[in-house]
Amino acid sequence: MHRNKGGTPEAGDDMTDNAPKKALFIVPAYNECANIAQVLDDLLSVAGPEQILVVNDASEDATLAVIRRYPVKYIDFPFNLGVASVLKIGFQHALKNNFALAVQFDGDGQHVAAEAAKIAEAIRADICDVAIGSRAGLSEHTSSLARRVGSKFISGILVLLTGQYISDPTSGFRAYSLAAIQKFARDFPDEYPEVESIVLAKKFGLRVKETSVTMRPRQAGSSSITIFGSIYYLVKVILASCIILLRKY
Amino acid sequence: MDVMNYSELILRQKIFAIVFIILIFILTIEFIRRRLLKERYAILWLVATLVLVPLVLWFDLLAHLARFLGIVYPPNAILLTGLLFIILILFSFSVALSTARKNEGRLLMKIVDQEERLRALEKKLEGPDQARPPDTEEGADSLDPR
Repeated sequence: MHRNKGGTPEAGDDMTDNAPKKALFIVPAYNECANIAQVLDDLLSVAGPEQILVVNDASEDATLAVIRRYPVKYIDFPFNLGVASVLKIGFQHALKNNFALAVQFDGDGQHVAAEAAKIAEAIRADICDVAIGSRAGLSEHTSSLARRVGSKFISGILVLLTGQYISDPTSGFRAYSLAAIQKFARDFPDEYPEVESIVLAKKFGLRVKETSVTMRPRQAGSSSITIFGSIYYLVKVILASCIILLRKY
Repeated sequence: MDVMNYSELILRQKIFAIVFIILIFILTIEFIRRRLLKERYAILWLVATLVLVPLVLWFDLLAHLARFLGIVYPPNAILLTGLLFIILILFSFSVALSTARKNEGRLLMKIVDQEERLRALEKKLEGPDQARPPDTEEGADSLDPR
C-alpha cells in the first residue's frame, strides 16, 4: 500500500549500487494552505515520509500549520526567498542525507505523484541528469494564452542559447541525478530558476531530457503574474542565461 | 585654443557620450559575470544605457523628444533622461534596502526564538535541580539594539 520510490531495505535486498535509488521530493510551498494537504497525501502514496522535504517559503497563511500535521521533513524560511533558494537548500539536504535522486514537486497541486515515476526512471536509467516533465501539449485548460506564448518564446531563446529544444521550459516538475544535485547544491540561479538552470545544466555538461507527463490545472488560489512581472521575468531570465554562457564553470 | 566649429563640438559630444555609455554597459555585464552584481539590480542600469544610446546617436529622435518635453537645447534631453534613470535606480535601492532590513529583523526573531528553545532544552537536559550552565556569549541574547 505504501510503496517507496526505491524500496526500503529488506532482507535479501541488493545493497550495492544496483539497488534502485530512493528519491528525495523537494516541495516548495508558498501560501498553499488550500492545496498542500492534498499534495502531501498524493506524495505519501508513492513515497515514505523520510523522502519528502517540504519547504515553507515564509507563507503568510496556515501552510506551515498544515505541513506540521504530516510526518514529513520540513524547513521553514524566516522570509520569502523564492523557489530557487528552496531548491538549492533541497539539493544540499539531498547530499547530506545520501539521496542520489531528487524530484522537484510543486506545492500547488499541479504535479501528479504517480507521474513522478516517469521522470525518476529517466534518471535511474542514466538517460539524463535533468529530466523535465513536460505538460503534454499545453491546452487552454492548463494555462492562459499569454503563458503559452511566453513559453514558446522561451523555448526559442533556449534553442538559440543551448541548441536544445525544450517544449515546456517553465515546468517545475523535474528529476535530478546525483551529478546534477552535486553541481546545483553549490551553484544555482537565484531567481526564476526553471529556465536558467537548463542553461546552467548544459554549461555543467549535464544531460537534459524531456518526458511527457500529465498535470492537473491549478486548483485553489491564483497565480501572481502581472504584466510588469512578466516583462521583468523575460528580461531577467534572458540576461542571466546569456551571462551564464559567458562565465567559466 | 583651437577654434572648433559647431559640428565638431557636437561630434565630440557624441563620441564621448557613446564611449562612456558603452563603458558602463560593459562594466555592468562584467560585474554580473563576476558575481559582484545581481541581475535584478543591474537591469535598470542596462536599460538606461540602451535607452540613451539611440538618443545620442540619432539627433532627430533627440530633437523630437526635446520638443515633446519643451526643452530648448536638445542635448539637455539626454541629461534629463540620464537623471530620471538615476532617480529610478536610487529609488530601487531604497526599496531593496528596506527589504533587506525587514529580512534582517525576521532573521533576528528566528535566532531569538531558537536561543530560547535551546535554553529550555538545555535546562531540561541538565535536570531541574541543577544550575543552568553559563551562557557562552554575553550580550548576544539581549534585545538591546546596539
